[in-house]
Amino acid sequence: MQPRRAQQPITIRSDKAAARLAVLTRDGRSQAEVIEEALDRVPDPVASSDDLAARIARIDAILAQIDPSSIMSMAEFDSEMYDEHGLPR
Amino acid sequence: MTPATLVVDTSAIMAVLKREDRWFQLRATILEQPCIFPAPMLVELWVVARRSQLRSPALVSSFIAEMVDPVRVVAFDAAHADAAALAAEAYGTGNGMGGMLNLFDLMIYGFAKVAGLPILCTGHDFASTDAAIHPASRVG
Repeated sequence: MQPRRAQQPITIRSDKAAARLAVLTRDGRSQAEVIEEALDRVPDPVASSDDLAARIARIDAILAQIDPSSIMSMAEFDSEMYDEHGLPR
Repeated sequence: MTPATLVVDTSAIMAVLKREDRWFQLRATILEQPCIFPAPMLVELWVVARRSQLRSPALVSSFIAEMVDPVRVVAFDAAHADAAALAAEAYGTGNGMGGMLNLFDLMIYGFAKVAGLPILCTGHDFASTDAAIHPASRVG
């Protein structure tokens, strides 16, 4: 997600939507609050099983090119990176 | 956005990358459940990958891009810091009481506590605390 300062402002092009936004902000809420609340109510698009299968296939293709023994274990990493107080060495 | 149901620890993603025991289950959970990916976890993931003897570090970049949904990466904030700092006394390594969480683990613990969600992880560290552990985790 982009940092807030890098986000583009949005323009409400529909007169009907703009009027509706004006009504919904009469209670003191900002336009952004109303829009965020509306977005929260929209369900996420459900990833299709094809999407998931394709993603798994891409991951499998990546993993097939990586020798697992070349990756350090978390135990090795922790003992190398953190001291006896749990702080970075 | 669908509310998250778990917090992912670095160890879970590394277990997939290393194809450790039960990596299929860990991968399925990460891909199919709405997760919180703590931003500091991405840092640790990169550091582990870079310190490993990889022929092509770019592959790890592709792997992370497939595994981590950027929309669900959550920044570390003041509430997380408070929860992590509180946990340091009880569960921090070097607390004199057998605490097992290093500085990074404490941050993950903070994410889980603030969100009220279980941690997907491998190993005993989080299981030795009062944090909830996701059932797909590999403890031990």
